[in-house]
Order: sequence, then structure tokens, then C-alpha cells
Amino acid sequence: MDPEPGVLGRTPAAMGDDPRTWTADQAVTVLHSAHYRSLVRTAALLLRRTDLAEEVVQDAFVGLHHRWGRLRDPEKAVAYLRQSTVNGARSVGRRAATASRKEPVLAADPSSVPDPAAAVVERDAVLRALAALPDRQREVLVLRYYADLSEAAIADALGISAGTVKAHASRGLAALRPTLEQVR
Amino acid sequence: MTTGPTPHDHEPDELGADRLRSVLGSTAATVQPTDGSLGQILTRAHHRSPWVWGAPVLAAAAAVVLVVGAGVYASSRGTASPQPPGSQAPTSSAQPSTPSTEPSPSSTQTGNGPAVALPVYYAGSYDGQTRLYREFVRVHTLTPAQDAIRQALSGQAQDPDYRTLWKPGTTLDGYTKQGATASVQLSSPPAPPSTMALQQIVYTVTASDPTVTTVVVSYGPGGYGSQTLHRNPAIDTLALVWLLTPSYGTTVHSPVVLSGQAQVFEATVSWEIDTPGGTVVTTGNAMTPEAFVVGPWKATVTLPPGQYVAKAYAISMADSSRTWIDSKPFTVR
Repeated sequence: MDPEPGVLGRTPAAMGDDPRTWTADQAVTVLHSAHYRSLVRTAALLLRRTDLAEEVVQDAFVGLHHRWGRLRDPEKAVAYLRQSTVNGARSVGRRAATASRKEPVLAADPSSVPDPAAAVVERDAVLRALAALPDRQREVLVLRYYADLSEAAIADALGISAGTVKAHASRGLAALRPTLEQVR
Repeated sequence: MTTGPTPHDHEPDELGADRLRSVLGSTAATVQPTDGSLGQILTRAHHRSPWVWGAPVLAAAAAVVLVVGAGVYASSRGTASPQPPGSQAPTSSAQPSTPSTEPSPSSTQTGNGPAVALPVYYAGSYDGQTRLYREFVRVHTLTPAQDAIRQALSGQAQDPDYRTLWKPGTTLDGYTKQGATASVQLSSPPAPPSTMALQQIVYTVTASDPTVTTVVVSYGPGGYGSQTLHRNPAIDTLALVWLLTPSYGTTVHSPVVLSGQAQVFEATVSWEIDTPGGTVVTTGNAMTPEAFVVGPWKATVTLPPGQYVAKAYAISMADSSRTWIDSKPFTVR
């Protein structure tokens, strides 16, 4: 997808410019158009499961719909969606892991690299190594290196300090480095 | 590749960060959310259970809340629709409808607005029955529903087996939206359009704008014909088997992901890979979550480089013959 045009994306013409006047339906519609896909992808990377990722993000949007009357602020709403997605992925991931030994269904994209067979194996190894990290390290790495969030935004999404974000990022990356060095 | 935006903090990336960014970015790009997710979210948001606010013993109060909730739902979503707007899969566990690859463009228009993959419905026939298929068209647009309707009317599908059910030259003369109702004004057809032709428009509009549940299609001078429509049930409308990836004429790498949607007997879709000359290379079966309910299916097959034709089909309950064969030529590099 193209880079997102700010927090809101485009606003349907029929809606007023002032987000405070939006109904919950309107707020969810606008934020869905700007953020749904990237949140689903974030959840898929956290869970290594595409099937559960949408469930988690839809729960987050339903939760936002209920809270919009109190939030009335797109920035806060996006922060809520991120927190809710990360927390949801964490609890769903635990539930899925204890409920079944089903293999994760998210794999590296074969068409993303010139020599697919070997490179897919290497990239899958990175995804497996990422999945084996402690929750916080994995969350920080995905929010930083996939979602491109600032340390402050990651700290906000995870409810931890910016210093802790930095520490998790550096430990997580160090743990992945041997696997990453195999990636061409 | 690391052409994306740089992190907001200004420290240089640590060793390995570029590679991690590349693996995460390319992997994430394979994840395609389903059509109709907005409709599912809004439906759930308006259907929240009254029980969360009070004890079940307050049955009368809860019943009142339920009625009020239903009223809000009806007024904000239009009249009852046979299934959630924009949804091909009435199951609650949403799964990406194109699980493995980006929809490939059939045409790229230059225009304002964000790049979107527009869902467009076309018709296809098998054994004299006509049903709908879906493709994606990638365009830059601020008016996705209108562009999707024009594309559907044109019948210019990537797969030449698909067509429009509207006569050549039919144009979109007007489009307005109020709440969950879209009004579509089309130029004059020679005869009243068939149910399936109307559903081609209804499915296209409701998929490209999931907030729409009701579509008023009018046609002819002064709108002599006008019908207020919802999506008819998928079981009566959609082709029983869709092969979505590899999309028509694309070049892919092995292992090749075959995927699509189907509503089939015993939840079983059969697939086959042929050479262009028709020699069978390999075959297999894939399952959808539920029999006779539209659901995703997927299979992975390893193939040496070359040209192939992928086929997906259902087995007829009546005589065990192959039915609803959807086929796409593709190349493995």
C-alpha cells in the first residue's frame, strides 16, 4: 500500500472536517480505511498466523467503536487500536498455542526474492527466530521495523518506557542477528 | 529492500536491522485483509450483547436494551441484508480472501487518490448456468465504487472467460450515496436487466464500499426501471469455485500457492496443474471450512520453471463429473 497520508487517510466528502463531530460509525470507517490493513499485517507478524490476525484487529475496531464517544480524537484512537492489537495478539497467541499445535500459516513471500527456494528458507528461519523471542522483544521489533513507529509511539502502544523499548529492541535484534546474517 | 520511511529516532540502524525490515516488509505484504471487514466490524459494534452491562436477571431491562440496539442497527445499516455487506464469507472467522499474493492489476489508471485494489464482479457460465466471479483492479481513485462499476460494466476482465452481463456501451450516468444506500443510474439497456446482471452491480458496489448495504439500480430514460436491491445469497449468486491465485497470466515462483474461494459439496475443492498442451502435471484436493458455505481454500505445489494452467473445480453431487472449472494460465520462473 502507498504510504499512509497521516493518521486519518482520506475523509469521506460527506463528513465534517472536525473529528469531534464524527459518529462512532464515521470514525471507525475513516480509521479503518487508513489503518486496517497495516494493523492486520502487524498482528499477522506478531502471531505468525494470518487467520487470527483479522480477528484481533476487528476486535480492536469494535472496542474503538464503543469508546469513540469518550476519545473523540483520531490520534488517541490510533494509539488505542495499536494497544488493543498488540494485547489481543498476545492473548490470542497464547490461547492458540495452548489450544492446538497447529503450524503457523504465515510464511515468507516466495516472490519477494530472486532465488526463492533458498531465500524463503532463510526468511522463514528469521520468522521462526522472531516467534521464539520473549513477547516484548518481538512486539518492539515488529512495531519498529515493520510499522516504523517511533520509540515514543512504541512505548505508548506497549505501556512501557522509551528506555525499555530501546533495551528490548537491542536485545531482540542481537538475538536475531545470527539468523539475519544468513539472509541474502 | 529498505526504501520505506526511516525510523523517527535518529540513531543509525543497528547491524541486521535492514534485513529484518526487509523480511518483515515482504512477509507482511503477503497478508491481504478480507473484503467486507468494515461491514463486519460495524455489524458487530451495533450488535453488542446487552449482557455485558448488567446481570442476566434484569431480563426486562436487557430486552429493552436489545430492542433499542436493534433499532440503532436497522437505522444505521439500512434494511436487513441477507449477509454482512461486502462479505463473501458469512463465517465469523475472517480469513484473507486472497491469502498469498497481492491482487495483480488488470489495468493501471492514473488519477488522484490512494492506490486501491478494487473488487470487481464479472459473470461466467458453466453448463448453461451463469454466476459471478471476482477480480481485483488496481487504480488510484477517490471514487472507488464508481470506478468499480465502470470496470464491471466494461467486462474487461483479466480472465477472458469472464464477461459483463450488460450490453456494450452501457454507461454509469450517476452515482449517489446516502447513509448505507447507494443509487446507481445506468444508461438504457435494450431489455430489463436479468437478476444476475443486477447482482453484478450490487456485489461490485457493496464490495468496493462496504458501508453500502442497499443499492438502488435505475436504468433507462428518466430511470424508467428502478429496483432496490441487496446482495442475493452467495449460494445463488457466486460461482461455486473461484481460483484467485495464481491470477490470470502472472509469473510466480515455486512453491506456487493455489488459492481461492468455494462453496462446495463436502467442503472439497479439487485442483489440477496442466501443461499448456493439456497434460496433467499434478492434482490434489483442498478443503474449505464448511460445506456449501463460501470459504477460502488453499494449496501449495512445487513446480519446475515453465508454463502451466491451474484448474480448480467442484465434483458434481449428481454424477461425480467436474463442474465449475475455473482455470488460469501462469508461468513459474
